[in-house]
Amino acid sequence: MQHKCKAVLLVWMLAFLCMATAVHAGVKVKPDERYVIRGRVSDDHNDSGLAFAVLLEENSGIGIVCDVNGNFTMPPIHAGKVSVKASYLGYAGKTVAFFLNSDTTLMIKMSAQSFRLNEINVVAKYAPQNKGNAVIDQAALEYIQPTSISDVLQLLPGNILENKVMTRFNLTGLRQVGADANSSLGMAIVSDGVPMSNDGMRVQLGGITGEDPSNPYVADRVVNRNVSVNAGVDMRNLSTDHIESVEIVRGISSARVGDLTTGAIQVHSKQGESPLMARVKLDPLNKLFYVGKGVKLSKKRGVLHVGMDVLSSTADIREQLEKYTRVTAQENYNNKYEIGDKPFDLNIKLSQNVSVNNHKTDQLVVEKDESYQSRYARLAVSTKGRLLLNTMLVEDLEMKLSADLSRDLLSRHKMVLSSSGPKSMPLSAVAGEHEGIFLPVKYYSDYCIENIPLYVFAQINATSRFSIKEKARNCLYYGGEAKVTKNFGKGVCADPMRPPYPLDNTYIRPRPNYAIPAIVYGAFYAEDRLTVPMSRHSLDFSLGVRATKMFNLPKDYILSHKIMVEPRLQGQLNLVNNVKGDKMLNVFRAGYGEENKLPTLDLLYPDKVYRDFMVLNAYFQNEDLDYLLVNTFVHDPANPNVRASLNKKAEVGWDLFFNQFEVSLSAFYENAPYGYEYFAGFYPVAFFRYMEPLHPITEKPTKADYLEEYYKDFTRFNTVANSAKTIKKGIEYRVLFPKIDVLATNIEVNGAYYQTVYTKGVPVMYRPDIIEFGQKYPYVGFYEGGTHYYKERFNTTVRFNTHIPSYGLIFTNFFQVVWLSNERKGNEESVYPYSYMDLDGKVHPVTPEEIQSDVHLIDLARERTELYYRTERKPIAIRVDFKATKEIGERTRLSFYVNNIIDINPIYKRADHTTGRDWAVAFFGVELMMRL
Amino acid sequence: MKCNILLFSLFVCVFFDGVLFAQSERELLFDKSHDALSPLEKRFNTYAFDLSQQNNNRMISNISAFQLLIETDSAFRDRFSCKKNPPVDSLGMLRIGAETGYSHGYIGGEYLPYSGNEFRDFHVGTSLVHTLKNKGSFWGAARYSKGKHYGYQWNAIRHAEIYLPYVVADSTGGDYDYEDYFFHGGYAWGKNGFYYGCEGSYRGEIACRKTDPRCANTTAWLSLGGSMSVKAGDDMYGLRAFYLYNRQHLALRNWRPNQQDRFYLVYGFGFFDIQSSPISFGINRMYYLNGAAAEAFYKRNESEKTFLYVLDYAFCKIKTEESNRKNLFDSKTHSLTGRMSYSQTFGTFQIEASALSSNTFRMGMENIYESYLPDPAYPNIYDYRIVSIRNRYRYLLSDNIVQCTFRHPVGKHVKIGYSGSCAEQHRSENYTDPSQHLHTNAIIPMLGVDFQYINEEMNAEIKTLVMYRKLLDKAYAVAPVGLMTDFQHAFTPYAYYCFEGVGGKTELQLSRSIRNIGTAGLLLDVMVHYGGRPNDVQYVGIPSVQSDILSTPLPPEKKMEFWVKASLFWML
Repeated sequence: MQHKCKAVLLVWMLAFLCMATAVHAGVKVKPDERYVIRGRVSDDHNDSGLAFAVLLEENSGIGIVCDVNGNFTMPPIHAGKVSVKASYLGYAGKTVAFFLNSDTTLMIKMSAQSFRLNEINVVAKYAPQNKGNAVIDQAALEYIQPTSISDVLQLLPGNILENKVMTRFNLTGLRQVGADANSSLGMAIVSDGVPMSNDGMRVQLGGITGEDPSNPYVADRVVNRNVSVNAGVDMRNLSTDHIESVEIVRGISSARVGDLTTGAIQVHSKQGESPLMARVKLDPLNKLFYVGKGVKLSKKRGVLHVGMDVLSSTADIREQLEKYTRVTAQENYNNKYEIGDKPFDLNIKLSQNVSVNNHKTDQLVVEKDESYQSRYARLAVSTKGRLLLNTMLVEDLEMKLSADLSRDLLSRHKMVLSSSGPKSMPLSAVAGEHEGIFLPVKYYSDYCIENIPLYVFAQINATSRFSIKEKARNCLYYGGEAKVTKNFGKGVCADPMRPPYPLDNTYIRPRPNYAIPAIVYGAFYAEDRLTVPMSRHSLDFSLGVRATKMFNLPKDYILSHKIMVEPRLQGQLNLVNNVKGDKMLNVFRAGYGEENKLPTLDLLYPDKVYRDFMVLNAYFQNEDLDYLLVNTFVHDPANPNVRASLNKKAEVGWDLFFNQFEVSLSAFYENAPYGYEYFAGFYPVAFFRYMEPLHPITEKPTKADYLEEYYKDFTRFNTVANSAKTIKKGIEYRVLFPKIDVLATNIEVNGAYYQTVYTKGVPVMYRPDIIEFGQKYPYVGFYEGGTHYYKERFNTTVRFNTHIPSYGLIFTNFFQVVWLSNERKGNEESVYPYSYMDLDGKVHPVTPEEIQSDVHLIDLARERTELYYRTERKPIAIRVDFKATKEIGERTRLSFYVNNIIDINPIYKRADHTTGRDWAVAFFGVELMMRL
Repeated sequence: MKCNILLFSLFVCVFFDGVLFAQSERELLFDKSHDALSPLEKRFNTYAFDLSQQNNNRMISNISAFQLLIETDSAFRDRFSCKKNPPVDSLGMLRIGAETGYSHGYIGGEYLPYSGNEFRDFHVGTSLVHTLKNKGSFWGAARYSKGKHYGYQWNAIRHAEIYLPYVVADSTGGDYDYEDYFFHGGYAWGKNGFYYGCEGSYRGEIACRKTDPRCANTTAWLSLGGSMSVKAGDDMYGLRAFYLYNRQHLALRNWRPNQQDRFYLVYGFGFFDIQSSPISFGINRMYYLNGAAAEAFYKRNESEKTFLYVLDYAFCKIKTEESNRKNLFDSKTHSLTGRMSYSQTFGTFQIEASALSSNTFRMGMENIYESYLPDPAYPNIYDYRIVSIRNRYRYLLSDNIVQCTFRHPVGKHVKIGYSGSCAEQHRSENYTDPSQHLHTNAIIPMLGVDFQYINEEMNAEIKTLVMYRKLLDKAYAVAPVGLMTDFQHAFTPYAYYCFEGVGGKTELQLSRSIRNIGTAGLLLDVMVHYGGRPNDVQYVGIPSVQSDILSTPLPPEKKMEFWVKASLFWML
């Protein structure tokens, strides 16, 4: 039914597209209704042209890049009010608004960024045309001094400030309390229009596969350091020093962006000519050094911006082994050509990322004579070309091509010590009964994990603009993309005779990554931006649709036959009123969208799981007598029915802009019922085993020397499933007050109320942990749905930004108040199963009455105490942060910050009535920036 | 050059309050943001070369007083701005300085086990004063320090002297690596004859031990304050008040799998809370300190005489919190410091007399908890509540110094000064039930000489102070009761404070003015002490709690301690 609706919708969208095209073909565009703006962007001190400055007409969305001398000619723009925004690296952005009613020459003078300017913005911006998206420009980025992209998210309403550690993968979330792997996987990182991906990473190792990446208690934490499987891009690898601005899409994304569910972080890299800039950032856990410069090669050869940074980071200063050191470099080349008489913008970007510190030592490593080596290297190249055609049918054509190759090799020489005698090690790679070996009590295990993912991406986009009977303006974006992901690495390499984790051998027979087929997908999209002027007011629509299909999948995978259609619909009513001579803008917006995140390589092609059961275990500390027999069961966790993870989003909002006063209110609802998970299920096993000797054993035993017993039990296996369900809803608010001149301070208040539910979207299995008369409980129940974890939080953040231009000083007092933070388990889960399975694998339907009346089944009732459902309520918590930046002279800027300079976390009573209090530990750092 | 000397003095007094000031217990609590980086640096700072200058710098560190002088005292303003005969309203100026240095110190023989016996410290910092015409002055300073302190024993807390006697002890010890960040900012302005200042400073330190059991200590100090000054004729009055907030978080854990140790929660004289001193994989604790301080000064400038009186008082309350949120220990500390200076000029000669008295009194409290069932429906869930409070611990530290100095010029560029000082230090601890007591009373006579050469481009200064420390009185009445770490936490510090011997310190400063660059210079500090405790100061018996470290009483022996620091500075 849903597919039918989507198909109908797709047909209507295509029909609309055709109609629009037909209308466009029939519409006569009067040339005098559109005019050309040309001019020059230059430095206000020495009048030198700013090469490749970026200009954007905010109302129409038309953007261009200047030439090497700062000259520009914009495509024809409709007559009326225009707002042209110029941006350039190292300069304060400038916006020129005027009424366009003829061809116009515009000379834009820009000032170098300085805290001595009267106007400087250090908060996220929310412009009316951005539909609630947050834009963090260069001045704000430099002020918050991020170490990684995730620091930028803290500027958003509802996000809680916390100290991120760089040595382990951090889950990324938006609009939620807590974090989950699916939301993190669904966060798209788009760098200059090219999506970044981590979908090619694959680690099939006991204690890693199927584990929550945020769980610090994995089998080997050093592996966990650089492994971010099925949880999205590792943001630690992205240096913010190469970034000029960031735009964060929280709600419904444009149809141009796909393979996401949570949101998108659009990153724009530094480019253009700029003075040499050096930055040093120090805090107890992170040491960062950056240097970068933009050079004009010549008038014909364009501009090259190069930058390099080095980061050394540790999660815990006591830890010697788990250090993260990253070296990144970026080279960004821009030039402008002419093809025929059409301008052509070319951008080529190279990125390198290397991890050093190959050898790590630690008191315990040295004691045990262990070693640990990690090597990570990444090379990415992208090229983007944009041809400004300015024809009636197509305004511009853009092509992107990128390749991203990385190599992640982890090698470990590890001592394995058993305090409970020798462990057994089966060696079979097939199901059935086989002989195994006894491992030494102490031995060294050598293993490595190699991933070499390659991502190749290609995209072509076109833009067409036209009017409908001069009453409405259309801007149509359309195009297609394709992406290939392939891993050439060896995967896990371990000696089965000397396994690293003898207690869990389920993944000891791995399949190399290079044997896994590549993931290939293609997508088409179309999005129409319609503006209907209504005297002073206007109505904006963004109607988009995206269709995605996966290729190169096994024929039995349902995704190989499925086209995923995603509508992305947004509407906005802009009401302009005059209040005492000043313009007041009220914006009412609403939207609905569906977004799909495709499965990763690890989820599509998991390794088979080998579960070994003891059949005969005779250990005499004598190689001639020792005898080990195991029965191996093989389980394939792959799920051909796995589908894309879908998130349905709805949002309404209201924004008010009046002079320097801004108010924003948004309410949203997101339902993602098909998140990915390694879902645990019970499977019956049965085999003969020989545990009791019939007589004293004096020579190498055989089965005949033991009592034969037919053993039945259940075992747990994980299977890839769309079983994780997340529901997010909430209200976000933001108020920006005009500057209080007496205090030289402006105040921003933002916050949110979020309610997030984490649960399962499929029936769950449960086996009571009971042993009676030496026997485990013989039944497994099937229950409708799993535990619902409810989390809610209401917070307010107040920023006081004090800017004193005469001293070149900005400081920010930041108050974060969490008014309430509650967690509870919901009582929706069914207490009684709807069926149960016995040890023979037979499934029996059952009713609650039958459960209650049968003494053998009563334990299947999952009755919880009242305490289990109690809400854990935390009291109000206040945290104060402080940051200050001072310009010293014209070239130097010194900053320092303190997180948790003061905190108020009262003592409270937990759900079980015991005393609790959250501790807040201070964190601080300093940064020095120099421009030469 | 004179202006640069003044600027440097101001620079170090904002920055390194402890370098020039007597490092009393009160200042440890009140003005922690200016603390020295190691115990030996604190010892170097304890007795000033020039107490009168130190007292005066203390007054000027009140930024409202500084602003008052800038706006009303043209001679002071000239010296600070390095301009000759400036117009009255030329108040706009920016003075900036930067400094980097390295120090190394070592204590032979017995030492205070809770603070280590070898110290290597590096620092780099900057300080600036930015005055705008009719808009007041902005102050700023920042410092980054990094180093390693060796030989911590029976203590896992940094800056233990603030939290004594309530430390967490482990029986393994180790060496601390640390990083320290300090920031200060302030603004001072004048209106209608009154001058006001508001300032804040923050110091954060993160320190760790990288051998088992591994500690991570995060300590932070915040001080926020306001000040006011006014001039009436020859008299100048000033007042300032501060709020102080300090926290230390301790995370202590064994990295080695399955390794457990006992961690002792000590509460004075080696007593430890047996029930709350678990054998476990690790322990966490939080310290909270809230305090307030007030300072007043009066200065009178007559034609050839100057009087200065400074009085300050500080109070702080400390509480401990364990990971189960029990607040086992509290303490309250009062500090009172008085300073007095008198100087008189006779032609080209000058006589100065100064005194300083610093007194700290601390009372310790123990909170007694019982466990109870918070919810009778769940008999396996327990919580804790306070049922009693004991006030049994007392601590007193008193440092008193008097100094007389005579200065006279030799020729056009040279000035020589001679000083004689005498200091008295009293330290005592008491516990009422069971009764325990110890105290030391020492006298330290000192002689000093300083030599100064100044011309248009260069400045050279060398100061020397020699001293002799002699015990006047001592007592150690500590009777072990059951299992105690009395040897480690009571006797060893007592033995350290029973030191008798000779010592000396010297400071060499060379600076040169370089056109268009400013002034660059070198500062070298050296301190040496030699001596030991009297032969009758010996531990009787066998320590009841022992480990591989600090568990064997040794006979008294002579020991040496030294400390040296070299710094480079630049001012513009």
